[in-house]
Amino acid sequence: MAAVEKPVGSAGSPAAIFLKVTAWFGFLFLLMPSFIVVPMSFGNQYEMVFPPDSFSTYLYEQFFFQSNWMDATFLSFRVAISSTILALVLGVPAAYSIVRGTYPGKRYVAMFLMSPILVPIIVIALGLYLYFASLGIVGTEIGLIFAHTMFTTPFVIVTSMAGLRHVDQSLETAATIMGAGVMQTFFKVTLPLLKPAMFAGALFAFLMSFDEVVIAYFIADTGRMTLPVKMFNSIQWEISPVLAAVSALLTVLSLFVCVLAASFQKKS
Amino acid sequence: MAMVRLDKLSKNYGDVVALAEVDLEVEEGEFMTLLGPSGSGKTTMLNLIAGMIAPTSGQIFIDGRDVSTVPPNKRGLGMVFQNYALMPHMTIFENIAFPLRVRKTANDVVKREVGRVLDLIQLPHVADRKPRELSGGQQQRIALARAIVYNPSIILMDEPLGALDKKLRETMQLELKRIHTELGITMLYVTHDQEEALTMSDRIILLSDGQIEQMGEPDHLYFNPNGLFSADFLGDSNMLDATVESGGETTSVKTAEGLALIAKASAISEPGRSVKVMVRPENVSIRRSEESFDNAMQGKVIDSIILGGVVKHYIDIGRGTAEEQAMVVEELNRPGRTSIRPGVEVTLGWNASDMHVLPLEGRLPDA
Amino acid sequence: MLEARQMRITILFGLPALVFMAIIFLYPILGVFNQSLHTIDGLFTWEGYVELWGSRLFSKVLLNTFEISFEATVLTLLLAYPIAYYLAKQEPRARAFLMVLILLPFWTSILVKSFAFTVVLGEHGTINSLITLLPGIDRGPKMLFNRMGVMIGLTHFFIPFMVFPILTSLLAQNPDLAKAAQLMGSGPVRIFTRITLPLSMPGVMAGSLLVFIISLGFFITPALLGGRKDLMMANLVDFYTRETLNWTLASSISVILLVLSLFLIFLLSRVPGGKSVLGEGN
Repeated sequence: MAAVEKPVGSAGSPAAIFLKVTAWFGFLFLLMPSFIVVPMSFGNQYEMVFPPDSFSTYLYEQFFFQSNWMDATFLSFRVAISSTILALVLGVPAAYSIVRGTYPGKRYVAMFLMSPILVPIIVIALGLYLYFASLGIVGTEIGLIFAHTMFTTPFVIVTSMAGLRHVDQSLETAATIMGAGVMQTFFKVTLPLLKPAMFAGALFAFLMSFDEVVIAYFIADTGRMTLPVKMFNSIQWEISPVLAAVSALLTVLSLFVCVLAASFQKKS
Repeated sequence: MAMVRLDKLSKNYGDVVALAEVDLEVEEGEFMTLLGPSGSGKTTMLNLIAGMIAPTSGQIFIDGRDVSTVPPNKRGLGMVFQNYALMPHMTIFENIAFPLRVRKTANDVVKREVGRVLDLIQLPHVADRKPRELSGGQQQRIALARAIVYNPSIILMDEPLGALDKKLRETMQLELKRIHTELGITMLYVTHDQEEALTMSDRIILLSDGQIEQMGEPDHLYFNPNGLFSADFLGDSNMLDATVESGGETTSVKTAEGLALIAKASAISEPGRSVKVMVRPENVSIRRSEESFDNAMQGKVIDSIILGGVVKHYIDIGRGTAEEQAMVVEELNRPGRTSIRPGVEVTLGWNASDMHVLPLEGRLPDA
Repeated sequence: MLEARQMRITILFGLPALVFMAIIFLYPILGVFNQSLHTIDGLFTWEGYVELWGSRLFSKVLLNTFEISFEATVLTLLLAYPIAYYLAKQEPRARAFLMVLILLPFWTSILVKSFAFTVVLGEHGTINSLITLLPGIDRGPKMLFNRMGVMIGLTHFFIPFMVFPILTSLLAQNPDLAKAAQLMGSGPVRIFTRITLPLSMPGVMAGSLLVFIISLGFFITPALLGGRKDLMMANLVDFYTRETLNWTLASSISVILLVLSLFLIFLLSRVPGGKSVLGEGN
């Protein structure tokens, strides 16, 4: 059903109208959270209502200058950056190995590297908690970084594999025949051409780690919470209006990542 | 000494024979074409020489050195691809410089050499552009420049002109020949286009289904095909079923319809043997006035098609009027030539020396 | 020989990831299996599974999980299909723009969504405030901390997951089929029910299975938007881990959840269209 030219007389039919209304109800339903948190975040500190009664930046001031929220934000940020970099270092070569490699068992390697996607996240979270507990690294930043790396690497592998399929293999062949070794070809020819895919993959991996809550909740420490975990606790136990400001900022972050990634899609 | 020597080289994929055992020598400075339809094994042979695939058996020698187990990046070859394979993220200069940089060549040498080859291919001013800014023909010349800048012993070319349009292809063929003559580098050229092969090659290897059908200079293959495949693949051919009557200095045959014909001397001469006889359209004439030929055949004109400089006449000789059943006569198109109308009865004529006897199966031994 | 050398190097490329995953993923998962069969002190036991077998709480939660997942899948389908169909009918440019409306929520933090629902669905929240404006009504329906809240939250989360496979399936359909039917006299409704809908079933099946599988393991939404009667298996795992420190039980529940999910994923891979969903689904 690739976009067909509308045949005569079809636009105004009751079925078409019903479809349009339902679809747009769906869109609005989906967008609702993103839309309401922004105005809410400019509300006052006493009520959490939408639409807000007054306009103030109090909640943002609370967020930026009340230390726990910023600590959590910085932690999430550090973990997301570190795990993204690590995921790229592990995932891009792994994707190369899967797409370009010819060795027995390649399919199983690919399946194994992607398998975290198949496991319910609560099981992964519990597994990591038990494992880290036995190692004594529950609540550590490094544990969180490793956990998130594991969580995002399959995604980086998938996006890199897709990107690699668009890298012309004859370029690599040409480089090889002209004398470049495997490493040289990878760094001088493949990687530069893979940049758009890697960048998009990195952006989304960052977002995935930044927003990840279940694993972080299990292996967190009360003293060291990521932003999503702090939000989770807040919503569960004592809803703080600052949540509106946090949510608004997170929505902007999501929007920013989506737009950046889309502009990179257009480039490649 | 041979620049490339293949010794009992073969490649199988399980039960499938991509290339049957091959013995081959390519002389230094030769322009050798690997010609054949898709699946004939020509690209397999090229990839084996390049080192991109490993042989099932046999050895490969380049410039006297056994490279059978040497990885592709250490064989000192150059290669030109059909899709150019220029690095889109590098400038033309960097593209050409790439193999020199891999060899850690000094900067001033790089500059000099890149300039030299750019002059050679007559594109001296494009060094700072990116590949996508150039036309297809220009990109292919840059690809060639890149392949020769580091003076490899052989240049492999895998249907390099396939992506270009006809006129450009013809220009590029001449360009390639010019550069070949100027540099004297051994070139191995893969193509399925028989005209291209005939134009450019010092020698042609004709392949089909992994086997070498015939090998030799273009003229030799054209005028002495050793079998149905060679006769049919190179140039056009008219084929007739016949039985041998007697051999000798000429071969006498009788067609299925009972017509007696005389062909050139052939290794096939046993009376009673079923064969095919072949004569090329340009050697068949529509008999006018009192010209005499060794062979004559009656027919009725089906159609005449003008192809610019030549005219092709399709003649019904009693087998039917479909294109594969007609006898094709080709003559030069000159103004004032008497035109032949469809439906007219004509007599076709050709000489014995232009008719070949070919086996129904297999190949004749090399002449 | 040659190919062997190339082979060796490309394996090296994948090695770091393999080793890392083995240590940080495979080993912990095996650890969960292991823990489900051992007490905290390390003694081998079947007690975990035995207790679950007889536990009314677990049976209730298991049933809940399936009920909730099933209902959420159906509700999601009811909204996602029209959205996908509407998108399929757009010109590519318009569709690309509208896809942003799906992608932005897809990439928005679930906490943000949960928070927004808390505000909107609450007793004094946006919707109820509006409803109580109507004459004669002084209290709106309870939509938060109950099944309805969970349903709304889950459906909201799952719609993008369902839209993608259905949209793919719809776009893959040959437009000439509908055209031919139209020329032969069919009205739009019949074209839909007899041609479009049946041909889109692979996408529907794949999307539904995918959503169902994800829903089984859900944690956040029932925790934040549900009540005591809406506990799902993941919440129970959390309870046993944190509250009662009964790691054995927690692990046993996790194993059951994992086995269920893997079985359903296996089914998904058999459904036409399922394999590609697995590639893009998460």
